Amino acid sequence: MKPRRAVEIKGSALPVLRVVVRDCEPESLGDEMTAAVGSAGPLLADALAVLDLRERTVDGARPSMIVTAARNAGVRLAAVLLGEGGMRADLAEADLPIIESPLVAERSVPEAPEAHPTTASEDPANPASAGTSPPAPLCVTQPVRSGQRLYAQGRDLLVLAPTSRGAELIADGSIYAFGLLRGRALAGASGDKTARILATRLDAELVAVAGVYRTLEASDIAELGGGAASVALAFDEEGGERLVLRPV
Amino acid sequence: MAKVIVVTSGKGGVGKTTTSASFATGLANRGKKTAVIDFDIGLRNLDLILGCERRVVYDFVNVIQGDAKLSQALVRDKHSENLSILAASQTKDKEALKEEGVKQVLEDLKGMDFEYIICDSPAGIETGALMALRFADEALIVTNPEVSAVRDADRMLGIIEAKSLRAENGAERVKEHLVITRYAPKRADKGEMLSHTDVAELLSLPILGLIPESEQVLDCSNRGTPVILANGSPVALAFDDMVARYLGEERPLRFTEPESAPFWKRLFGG
Repeated sequence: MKPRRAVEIKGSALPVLRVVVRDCEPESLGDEMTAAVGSAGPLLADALAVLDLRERTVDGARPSMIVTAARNAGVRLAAVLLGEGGMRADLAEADLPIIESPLVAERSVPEAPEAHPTTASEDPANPASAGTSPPAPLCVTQPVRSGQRLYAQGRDLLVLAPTSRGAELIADGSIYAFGLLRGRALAGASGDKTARILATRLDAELVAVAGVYRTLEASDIAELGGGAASVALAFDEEGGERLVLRPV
Repeated sequence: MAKVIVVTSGKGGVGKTTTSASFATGLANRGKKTAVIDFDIGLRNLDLILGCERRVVYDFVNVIQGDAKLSQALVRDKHSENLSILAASQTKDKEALKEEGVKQVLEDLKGMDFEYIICDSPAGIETGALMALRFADEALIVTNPEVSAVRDADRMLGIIEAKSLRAENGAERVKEHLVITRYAPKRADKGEMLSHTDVAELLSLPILGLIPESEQVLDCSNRGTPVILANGSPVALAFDDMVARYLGEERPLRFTEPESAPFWKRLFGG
């Protein structure tokens, strides 16, 4: 075996929770934070979180106040996400890394590439035409075991085998599981709100789309009838989002 | 070509060493030249179960560290002349298992015309267990019909798929077999333990061996006889089935249903 270097730099896409704070009056901030953290339960207690202030406009509680409120509520913050003009200076004393990142635009339906039947049939491997098509899904044909984590970066994940409890499926796109899905499934990991999870037998511990997650109790599974199900985000008029589970 | 087979489980106490001893004995009694290595450095057991503890002079770590030759350390089994045992060290630290050394020992065993090399893994997912599975061609995953053992077995399968040399080299996958031990059909029927079909489904593996729960296992361990040699007992029959299936014979699963009470008992309600 090659000797391993003692220090290596590697890329990663760790699942980190986002605490999204929108406009909020300073007076009610503490209560809202405590309520949100309380509803997240043990999930938040063990996990790192980033504070996402990108949906906040200039009015209401200042970033430094939000950081304090989050810490008081017991959230272990790793960084703050700011959009443009996000009052960077106000966070100078918070001792937290600041990530400037514009809100990910919701993925629009990709325009169908212009049809070039002649070129396509003559040279299917033409790199020019390949560049316009979406990347092929990451396809897994072996059982996904407890402790294993699969990440389909920038594409969909297609699982043609069972997924065990304690395994984790992550995709920037959607997740399609043809087989019993028992572990965790996180679709739209980079913020794609149109991502979905489809499973021919859904018995997951936790599902998430674009960071909105939900743990599944035995009663949820019973409601689905143990059969095929889909998980997707639904939006209400006020812009709120929730995960909807549906038998297929 | 010799086959290296790891017997592993993740969880402790599920029957890895019992399975290793009986599987190796079964292969040897069918004329296969077999070696069995105890990887549980510091907590050696295999020599006791095979009844050769008094004849261990040198051990696996002595060979790795060059203090003894492999031929000096191999102990000939008293039940079967085709079986040799390489005992674990009882005094050394598990860190003594170096990858290069393990590789060399396995190569040397292959050079001595052994057909099957059984690696009896320690519990857990640390050095000893990783070294036991590192060079495996096949794996026997031993589990009990209960959820924690099954989850650990599943985790272990994932580790084999990530950490074995075959996986790292992108070679053909390690062939995995499922062995369910301590099976009590009566309790499975009542839903007090997982059924064998549940376990096979949870792990997505076919069953190679289904070994019933029996007091005989402990008796045999105490006497230093592998339980496969306990003539006529259900455990011995089940292990014999397992070896036969491994060598390609078709044998239906036995001991899946609770034993029905003897005729006279049913008649007189005893």
